[in-house]
Amino acid sequence: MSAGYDLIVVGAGYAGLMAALTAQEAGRRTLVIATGNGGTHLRTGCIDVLGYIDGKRVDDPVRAAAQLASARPTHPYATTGVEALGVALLVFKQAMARAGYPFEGDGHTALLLPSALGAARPTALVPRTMAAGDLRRPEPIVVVGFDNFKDFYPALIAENLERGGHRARAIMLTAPGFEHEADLPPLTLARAFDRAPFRSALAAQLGPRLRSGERVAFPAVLGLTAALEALADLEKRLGAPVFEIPTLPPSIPGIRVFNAFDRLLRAAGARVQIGHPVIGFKTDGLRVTALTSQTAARDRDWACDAVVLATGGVASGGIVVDSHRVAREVVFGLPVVAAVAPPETVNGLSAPAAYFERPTPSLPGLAVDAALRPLDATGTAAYLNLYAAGALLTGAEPWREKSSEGISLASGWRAGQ
Amino acid sequence: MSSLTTEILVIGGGSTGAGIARDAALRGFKTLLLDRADLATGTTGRYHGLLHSGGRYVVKDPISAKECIDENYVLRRIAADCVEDTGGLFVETEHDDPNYAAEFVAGCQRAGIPIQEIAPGEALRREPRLNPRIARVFWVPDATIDSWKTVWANARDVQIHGGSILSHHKITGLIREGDAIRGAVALNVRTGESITIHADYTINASGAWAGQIAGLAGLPVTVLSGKGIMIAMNHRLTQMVVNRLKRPADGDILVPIRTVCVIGTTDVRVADPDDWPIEEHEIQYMLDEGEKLVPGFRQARALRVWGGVRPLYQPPSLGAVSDTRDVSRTYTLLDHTDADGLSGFLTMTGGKFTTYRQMAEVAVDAACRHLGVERAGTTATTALPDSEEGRFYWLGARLEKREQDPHGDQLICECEMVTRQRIVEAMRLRGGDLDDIRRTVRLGMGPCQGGFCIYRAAGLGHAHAIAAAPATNAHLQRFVTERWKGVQPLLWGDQLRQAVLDDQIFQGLLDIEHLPGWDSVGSGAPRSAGRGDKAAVRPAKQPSGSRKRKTQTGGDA
Repeated sequence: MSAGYDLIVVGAGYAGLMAALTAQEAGRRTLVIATGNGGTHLRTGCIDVLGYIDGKRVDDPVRAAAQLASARPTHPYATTGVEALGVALLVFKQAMARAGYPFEGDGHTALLLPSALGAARPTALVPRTMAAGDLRRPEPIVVVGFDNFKDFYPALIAENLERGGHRARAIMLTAPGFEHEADLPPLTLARAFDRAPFRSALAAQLGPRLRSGERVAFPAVLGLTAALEALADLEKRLGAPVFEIPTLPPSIPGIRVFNAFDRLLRAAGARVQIGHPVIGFKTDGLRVTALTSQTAARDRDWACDAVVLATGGVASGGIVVDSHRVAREVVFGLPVVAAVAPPETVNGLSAPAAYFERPTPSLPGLAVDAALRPLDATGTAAYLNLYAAGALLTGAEPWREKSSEGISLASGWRAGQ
Repeated sequence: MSSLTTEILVIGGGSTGAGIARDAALRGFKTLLLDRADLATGTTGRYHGLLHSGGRYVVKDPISAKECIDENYVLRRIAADCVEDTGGLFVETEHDDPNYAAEFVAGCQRAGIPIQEIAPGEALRREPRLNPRIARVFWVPDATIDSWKTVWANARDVQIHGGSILSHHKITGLIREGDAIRGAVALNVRTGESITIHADYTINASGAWAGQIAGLAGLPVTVLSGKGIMIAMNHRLTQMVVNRLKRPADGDILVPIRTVCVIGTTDVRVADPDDWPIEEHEIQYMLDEGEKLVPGFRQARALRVWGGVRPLYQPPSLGAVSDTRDVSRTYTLLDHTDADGLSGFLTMTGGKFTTYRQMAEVAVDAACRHLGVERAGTTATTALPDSEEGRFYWLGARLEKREQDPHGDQLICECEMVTRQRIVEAMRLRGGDLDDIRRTVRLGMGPCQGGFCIYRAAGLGHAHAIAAAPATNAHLQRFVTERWKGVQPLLWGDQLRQAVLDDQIFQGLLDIEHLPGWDSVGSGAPRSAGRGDKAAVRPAKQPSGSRKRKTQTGGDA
């Protein structure tokens, strides 16, 4: 083996990428190793910090996160600290701007973006490609969809926006050049938006149907590699502000975020290996000294001084639960808390568990100390140089409270220190 | 109050009721089929889909076994489009009594069920996931049948022959004139309107609810409810039906149906066919029994658990029954003219899905006799709509169709290969209720349990003016709530992972909880009905205290 790494990050979602970038840019040799892509590819591509507390929408996400952290000591924000959140948001914004995929928002104002159903969805930082969608702005919205793209329904979005008090209407087009393909995958459409002739043909169809003063919403497929260029070009051709509405996975905006991180990490000298599960580890006393990953030809050891575990919890397979409801952390076999307790009985016919009224789900996760080190069964750090970040941390309701990326960035930044 | 007149009124839109209505309509009667909910949402729609050879009952319940094999052959002819000819195996595992095989073979001979013993090695070659420690294996003509498709085909034939279907109508009373029943009064549960139905003859085919209907005429009919639970696994662990070679017990059959396989079932007597639990220990028991048939069963992905209630008729002479497993699976015709001196009314209950057609024929024969007309039944030889060519359904049917034109239409539900055209057609016929559409085309019944397709289907319903946004939002919420009911008890393994992803889509991405017009989280229906919905909006949840709402909700096949 040539040389060890100062830090190995296991997992390539928001938390792992943030930890790796923080460490590498602080001058530490960093390796990212992951079984596959993480939450970036599945989520909105926005940075949610905190949208709701107890069902009430918050106005200042970072301040609300501080309130939540002091009211609920088991929440991940209580562990990461809200200072870390503030710094992490800043570091993330600067990084994305450097990578050519700038974000807007300051974390202290809840931005309201239309969801793909037309709900007003609160978030904290948004890519520039979505910024014009803020529902606090007054311009009427034209939601544009493609009848050969099945993951976006403009008329439903527009009617729900109208009912929410926003002026909106819908236009359905056929993606030009794809008239004979009924079922366009989002990546195909995104790559089409990267090309000027496609945008030109689209603008020629759409332009005459726009009214002055309107802004134009598209599904979030406005370019995979040239999103900013596509946005500026469309705005110029249409003479109107343009924005994206995120829809079903795979997330094009999320893939852009992943690609931006990947570019920055490689430029700074880090190594990123996706597709190589970690299958073992070596220790020296209470220190992890190496990880073993599975490569195509053989298993390989990677020596390291420290490890950040950011494998994403149940959603990503970092924690698995068997049919006896026994939960297991897959890399280190760390003890898992808050395993899923099955209901003793559910009523077979009458609605037993209204989905929207269920109590806080206790998703399995890791308990950590103040330095984000996972605890062993005795309640002390399992290893002195092992840190956990992201969705592995238990205690949040990320989808309902809209806190997922904020927790990942804050804990990732802390763990990368 | 509006009124209708018909010759034969059939109460209950499960397989038995739909079969009776078709039988009567084919004999030239003006027929009306009524159900309190959608068709096939009671026991029929909550069944595993096994078209019995009868092998399961040869030792314990030989009459039912004979009925099963007779009707197995008939349904293969008349309902081919609903049947997949999987074949079935009876396997003796190390947990089963080796003496049972001889009884089984003798019983099959008596019932006329063709069987063939095959070597365990040959059985394992055909079904490699089977427990390798099987000692004896018998092939039987088991098959699988899509219960929804069968009921819909029967209902369509009723309409083709001039009859009509009244779904979402609950019987509130029977019309009695002297010693005769002359129809019924029903409540439209969606609009609250009552309707009087005048009928020459009324047939009670309400299965586990038959006692309640007969009670409206003051007749003491005892139908026990035997609850069975089932778990659908995300793919077909076997391609043939697999039965344990033993007396029928819990968790001893594995049924490959469409894209999944179903393990079943239990048999627990419950007091109320509308209110019963699915318990954690029952689920664990199913998994343990699954391991005995297919080692590694617990590592396979469980999609959804549900249950149904069998109607089991208890003759007054039998007295108290402790174990519903011991009640015969045969059917019972209660001729209230002969037994109770009340004419114009009969009850057909008990039985099995496999024998629904025979039950229907026997019921309509009795009605003819009392009406003094002589018209022979023809359902044993007349194919159902879409089954005329006699071609069995096969698993690759949807894929084959898709491959003929891979770019011509959108796949809205990838798991079940449901196209956009198919969904829009179903919505035009049946309205925008996504749960109704699920039962019609199997939308959202695969591994993702609606995570991806249900947003698309909702958008399509709206785009095609089937439902306005408020109704669409309510349909979405109702669907998500329904799915959660079956998924919640199975949160482990890949299905837990899927459930978290689905949460992320519904709550994190779509923010379905904060659509405009919902009073608050979980309040269900929107404030106003907007521009309306062809299928009226049903609130996702009734006001508090309604846990025992008497509306049926669909299960899986």
